[in-house]
Amino acid sequence: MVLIKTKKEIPSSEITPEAVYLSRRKFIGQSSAVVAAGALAQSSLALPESWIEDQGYEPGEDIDEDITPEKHATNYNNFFEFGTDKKDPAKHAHQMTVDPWSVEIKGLVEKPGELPLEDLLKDIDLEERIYRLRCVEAWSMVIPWIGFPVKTVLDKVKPQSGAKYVKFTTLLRESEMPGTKSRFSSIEYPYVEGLRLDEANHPLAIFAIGMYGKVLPNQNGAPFRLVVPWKYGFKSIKSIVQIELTRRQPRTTWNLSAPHEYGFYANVNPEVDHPRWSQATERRLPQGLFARSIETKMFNGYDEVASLYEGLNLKRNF
Amino acid sequence: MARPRLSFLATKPAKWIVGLLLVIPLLLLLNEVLIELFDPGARLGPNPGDVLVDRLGTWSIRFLYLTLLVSSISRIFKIPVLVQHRRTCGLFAFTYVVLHFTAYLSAILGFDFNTLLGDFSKRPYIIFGMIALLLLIPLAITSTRGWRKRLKLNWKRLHRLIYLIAVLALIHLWMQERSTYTDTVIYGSILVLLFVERIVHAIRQRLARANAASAAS
Repeated sequence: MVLIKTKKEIPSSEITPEAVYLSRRKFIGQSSAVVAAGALAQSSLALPESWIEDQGYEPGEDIDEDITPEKHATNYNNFFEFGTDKKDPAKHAHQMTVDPWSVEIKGLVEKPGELPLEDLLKDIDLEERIYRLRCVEAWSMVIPWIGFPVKTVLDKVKPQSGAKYVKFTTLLRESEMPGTKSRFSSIEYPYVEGLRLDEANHPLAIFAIGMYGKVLPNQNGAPFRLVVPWKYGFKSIKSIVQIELTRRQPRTTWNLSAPHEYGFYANVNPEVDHPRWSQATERRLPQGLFARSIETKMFNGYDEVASLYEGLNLKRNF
Repeated sequence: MARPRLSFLATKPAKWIVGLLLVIPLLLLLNEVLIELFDPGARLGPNPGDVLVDRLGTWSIRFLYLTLLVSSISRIFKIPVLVQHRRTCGLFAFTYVVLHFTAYLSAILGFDFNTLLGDFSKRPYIIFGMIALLLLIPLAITSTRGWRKRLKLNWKRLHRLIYLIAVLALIHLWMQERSTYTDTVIYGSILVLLFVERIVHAIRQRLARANAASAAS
């Protein structure tokens, strides 16, 4: 794996169509017809839409719940860098340049450095995970993500023994993110989230690069995001540009903005209300105007993570 | 100074026109809801309940402040007949608030009155919104000419509650804002201007009275 800072010799836009750049190496050995098809699939995506299909992935285990229609998962988003309305990310996120993309690894790791996304994805086996996504706003979706365990990346960069937390940071590029320009904003950018190291190493925690069999649309956190299904959605940070291993608990964005409303842990918990609304039920989207809500489950139904929190008061550490 | 053209504002057709204008947002929303019922997700997205409550709430505060604005404009531009339309605005504000609450009760809570009681006792923004709604009820009831005559001076006193309601509505909005306070700043500034106009008007009146008194003595 290349961990030294590498510079692209010639901007990809000049020679290689953007979409092909990232997957260049993956296509070697495949027929030129496929490459041509990839080149034609120009879009604002870092990876051509067909990339994941060509790459192949292990299909996800089916769950007993209906998958949310793709149009809703890609048009009803919280990505405040692009505006606070649910439709804003789908409207504005195309402005975000996601190619080239690199992730800085820093802090208490054996192998720090700037890692181009294509290096990060090298030799990684993709798998599909069909997860419930429970937003802190009391709605939920079921989304088929494509990605790989966070642990595979952590194992490669080798956290030092003193590392206790992982801090993630989202891209901040004001010129491409209209929502970051608000004068009356109560949250600070760049967006920061964090996990305890043992949480990040849990097999359910993944980095996603795709959904619905395709690469991630920008509004869903392209090209590279976190998905932690047993926590409220805001923990699953999007468009990650930095991963830092730390000794102390990182100060996370929503927790800083309203500490009494958003805790560091933010585990889905029907018994701990948000101060402004109950978390006992959720609306599974799309939900008809007068349809009934469903009951929210502890850890969003992912009981296997319970052992991570033994002895921890989850009411206090909400 | 005579303003012959403005006298149209006092006529029945003028009242009808104002009423028709004010009902437009409601009709547009009703149209969306009807489409939504036949084709879920078509107009209001995957979470229509939230959108409906939100839009009705926005129109509620707009009409509430519009009602206050009518009096200000009639004073600033010296068009007293305009005040005749204040009642229509106020009643529409009340209608939107009631619909806002009904949408919350049906689409969000699913008529679960236990959650409603829980919300009402635990969540400050709901408490502020509910108080504003309850205070609007006596104002709506006594908005008729008959009540106005019956209550005499007390009618004016009672209807000053609108200022408290306007502030409660702003707090209700502010407490729900996350990440950016843009709406609170916008509506808050409007309310401040409305209050400033009233204070200036009151001071002027007092000065005029004082002048009149000193001239008489």
